[in-house]
Amino acid sequence: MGAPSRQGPAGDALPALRARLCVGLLSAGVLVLELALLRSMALRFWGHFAQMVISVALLGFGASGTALTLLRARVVRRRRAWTCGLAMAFALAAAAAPPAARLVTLDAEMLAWDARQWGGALLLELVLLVPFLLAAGAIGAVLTDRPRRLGGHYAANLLGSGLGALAAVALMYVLDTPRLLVVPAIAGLAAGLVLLPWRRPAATAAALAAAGAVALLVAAAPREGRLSQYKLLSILRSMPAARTIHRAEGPLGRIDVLAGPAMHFAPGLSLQYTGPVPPHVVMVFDGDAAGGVYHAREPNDWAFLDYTLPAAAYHVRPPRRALVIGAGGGAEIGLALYQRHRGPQRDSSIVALEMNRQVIDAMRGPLAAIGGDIYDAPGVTVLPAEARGFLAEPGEPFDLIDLPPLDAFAAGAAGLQASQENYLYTVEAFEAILDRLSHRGVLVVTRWARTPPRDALRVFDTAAQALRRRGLPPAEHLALIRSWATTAVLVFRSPIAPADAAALREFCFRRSFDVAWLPDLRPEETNRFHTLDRPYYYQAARAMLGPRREAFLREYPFDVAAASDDRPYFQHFFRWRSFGAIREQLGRRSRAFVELGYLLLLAALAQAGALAAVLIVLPLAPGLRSLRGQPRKPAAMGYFFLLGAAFMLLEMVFLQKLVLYLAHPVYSAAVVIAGFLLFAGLGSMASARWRARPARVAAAAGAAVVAIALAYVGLLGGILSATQSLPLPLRAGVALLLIAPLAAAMGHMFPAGLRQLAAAAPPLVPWAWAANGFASVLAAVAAALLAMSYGFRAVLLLAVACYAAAVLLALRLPAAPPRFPAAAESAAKVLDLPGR
Amino acid sequence: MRSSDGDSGRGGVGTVMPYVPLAAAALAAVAGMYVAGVLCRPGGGMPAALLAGDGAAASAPVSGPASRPTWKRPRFTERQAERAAMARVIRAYGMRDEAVTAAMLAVPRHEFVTDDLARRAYDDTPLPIGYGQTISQPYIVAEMTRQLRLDANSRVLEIGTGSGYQAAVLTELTPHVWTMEIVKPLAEAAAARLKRLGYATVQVRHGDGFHGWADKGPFDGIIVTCAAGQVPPPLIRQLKPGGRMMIPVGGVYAVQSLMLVEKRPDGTVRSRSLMDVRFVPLLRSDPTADR
Repeated sequence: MGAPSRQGPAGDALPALRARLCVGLLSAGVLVLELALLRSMALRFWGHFAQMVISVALLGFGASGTALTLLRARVVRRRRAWTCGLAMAFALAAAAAPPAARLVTLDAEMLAWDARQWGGALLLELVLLVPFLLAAGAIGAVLTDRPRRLGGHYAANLLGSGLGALAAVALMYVLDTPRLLVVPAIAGLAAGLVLLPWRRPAATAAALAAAGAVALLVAAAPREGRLSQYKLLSILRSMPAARTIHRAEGPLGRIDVLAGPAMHFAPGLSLQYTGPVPPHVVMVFDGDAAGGVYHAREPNDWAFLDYTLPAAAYHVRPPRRALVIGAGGGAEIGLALYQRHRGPQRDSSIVALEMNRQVIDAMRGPLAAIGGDIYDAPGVTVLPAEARGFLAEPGEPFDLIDLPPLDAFAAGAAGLQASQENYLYTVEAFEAILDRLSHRGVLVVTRWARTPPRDALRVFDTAAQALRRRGLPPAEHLALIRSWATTAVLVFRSPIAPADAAALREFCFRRSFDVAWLPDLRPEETNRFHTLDRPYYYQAARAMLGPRREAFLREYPFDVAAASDDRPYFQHFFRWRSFGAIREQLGRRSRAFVELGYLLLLAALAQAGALAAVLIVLPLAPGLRSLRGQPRKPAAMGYFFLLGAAFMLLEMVFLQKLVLYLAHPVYSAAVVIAGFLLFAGLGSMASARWRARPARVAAAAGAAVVAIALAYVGLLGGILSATQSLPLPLRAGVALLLIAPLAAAMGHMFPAGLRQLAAAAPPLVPWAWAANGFASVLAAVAAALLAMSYGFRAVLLLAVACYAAAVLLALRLPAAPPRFPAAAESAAKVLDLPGR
Repeated sequence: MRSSDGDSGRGGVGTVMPYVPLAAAALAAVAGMYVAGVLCRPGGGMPAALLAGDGAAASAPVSGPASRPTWKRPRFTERQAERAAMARVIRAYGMRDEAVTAAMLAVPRHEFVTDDLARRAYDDTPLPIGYGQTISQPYIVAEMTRQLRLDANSRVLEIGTGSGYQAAVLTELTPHVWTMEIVKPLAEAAAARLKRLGYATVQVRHGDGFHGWADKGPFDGIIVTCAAGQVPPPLIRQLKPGGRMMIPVGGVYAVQSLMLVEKRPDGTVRSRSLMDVRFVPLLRSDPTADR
């Protein structure tokens, strides 16, 4: 391992400008790769693979740190060759990783049943790890350059990372995911060529060969990524004469529209309906969630939707003004049009929100004729807006707000969205909706039905909590109805009148829907058409509205308590303490109740930990002897471990919390990753300019982090709410401004501590780096798990506690020997590498 | 399945002894034929009468009237011990219908899974068969079969043939089984498999099950394995009054409940969600008792 306590040889010189261009390109390429893989994995599997991708990227950086430590002398001697070589290798690996990942067989749905799938998940992580490892190695090689150049190299790294994150989002508008995955390879190739010593024929030949190989890999790469065979898109494609009539992709996902004689899509229809369903095609979002695009030219063509649960709200209180959240293929708009045609409010207006512009463009473009031009029907206004942002703006009230199920039927049942944030089904969201309802307004929230009940109960409790916060007695403002496939919670702004209840009963009776809650409901009225072993819904509704709510929520086999913006995991119902009882009763069948999203996170955590131990910590084992006699080892290791964990916990909190603020996980990822990298890097650079001892700088910075983070505990929610209605670019700016002071303070701590350690106990440096990397990898996944169980606030407070502990440990770091200040400082600068 | 040889049931040892060498020779012949693989396959050289599953050789009880079944059902001896273990697991889940259990014992599940999963064929787990489909967990297959309440005269339609396993189980109870599969490779493979194994009473059709199989209806029982949130109205029309339809609810690996659709004599339809095992109680006491 290198001996940083004395000045090493200057090593192979790098041309400064070209080195920085190389670093910038590599850094940009890494961010593009990370975000492109997020999309690719979300499409192939489901969105919760994001944590795995982030964890793998961190693992690559951590492992490269260990490798550089072990190979430092060799790298320094031939710095340029190593940098070029690793950059080219990154280009090759970035080009090869997507097709290689495609070859890895992994059926995520089988994880609970087949242990072999865990091996597939591990293999996939290893395949994706390679390009990050190589890129990090190349960047790290440049950063072993002379200390006086490091500032410029850092700046290039930060700028490249930030631009890469933003470029990735911009490119998603013009490139589909397979093509986007080519960009990092091109960036890596360019980075290697920029620094190539062209005068050396061997190097030139190697570079050309690498370029040729990259070109071949890119040309041979499949134009479409692999899709899980269990996703709806795969199943629809296997149907006879199925054909794709439209496809579009953007940052918000991919839409595929399929047509074929075997496409039948009318979910949630009453069993009593035997009439026709208009011809239609199926629009699929990210391979799974689907909606029908119906060729309905006349309002009466939508009559079939009158036999679905959301129609109940129209029958009870016909609206003059209706809002549909999620226009999609237009079915909910069609329902509103039919009700307008059928009901007393012939001049009612309909507003529909659709945040995905690809959907709007499709429905107004190639699908317009198929979809009966529904987006431009008289009295219909479709807005390209996200619901929470729209609701945050002042505006006219609505008499009816329709919130349909926006996820896939089967994916929800398997718990595949358990780890996905959903800010539409929280108490705060329902409060915002209530504020937008007129006095006679009704919110109707439809969800897929499951046995035992879960979704509907959570919606019910969430609505009840929102009503309580508005000072309204929930028992008089709520109705719950269900069919065999769906449930609907109706939330009335004003108390349910006898006429409302009568209309609802009549509606349900004619369609064989069950009423599970009305203020005056009698037990014998429940559980008549789609019968359950017990009237679970009615009993649960009674319990949740009564004084035994807390006991019920505690004892129910699943977690159905109201979701909140602090814990927006609507589809996470799993309870460890109940699973034992479920397993006892159902045996192996209990695995059907394991939420795959949650299981995937646990798998990612276990595998990330194992890989981090093997790749980051284990290679340093031969150097254990050098630690003997080193002072204050526990304090040093603890300090860097806590930094690694706390940095990632804070970053992940911002990443998930800003999903609401910035309307989509991709935007949030781009802004948060770029913001933290940029400002933490600036903080790292600034940390060397303070005159105080590095340990004191670290402690002061840590105290600043604690203070800012504690302030955010109280203020962040308010700031985000107050600025929610701003346009997206401005919101991104606000987010960056919020991240800046926190990340800058965070960025001080690692290099300051490392400088202190380098001067006082050099053999501890690689271990400090390893501890930090190990903790980062684990925390990236653990943050999501903790947030699902305890909420963002708890994770934020945990991070604050970690930083507070790190402050105390900073003051306990080994002290540098006073007689070698110059040497110590120089040694520290040599190791002034970016980190957390 | 082989029936046990007849026992004498009378006389003492002295009466039996002269016949011992003959019995030993017969047993040796049987063993030899088994080793030669003759007895492992239907039609493997044994007299047709023994294959017919009737008379003394018949060991598969049928539900319904006491009349003997008159359709051919193939019999398999391979991996019988594993099927017996699978049956024990099914019984542990609460299955008490011996006819259904016997059907599960009779059908060689390992013939309906891919080669790479053959060793797991009798595990208590669903298994993939490709094209996003699975062969259901054995208990689910058994329970859906039981809920249809079939007898030898029942007419059964299955939508979603998959591997053909469920259809093979159904035909252990009734010779009137029709099954449809929309994925052509699966339909062709299932048809070939069922034919090879000797399940001649199952008719397989490649087609869109949404429209059912009108010219073979109406049906006493219908199984729909791919409902995806919608029960096709044509299937409800093709269900006889008094008929029962079974739909597993949940993802392919997450069957959490079974839905039963019953058509009443007057033609109206009611549905029920079945949780075969009494689930964890919601509360320690029924809150409706407060009223």
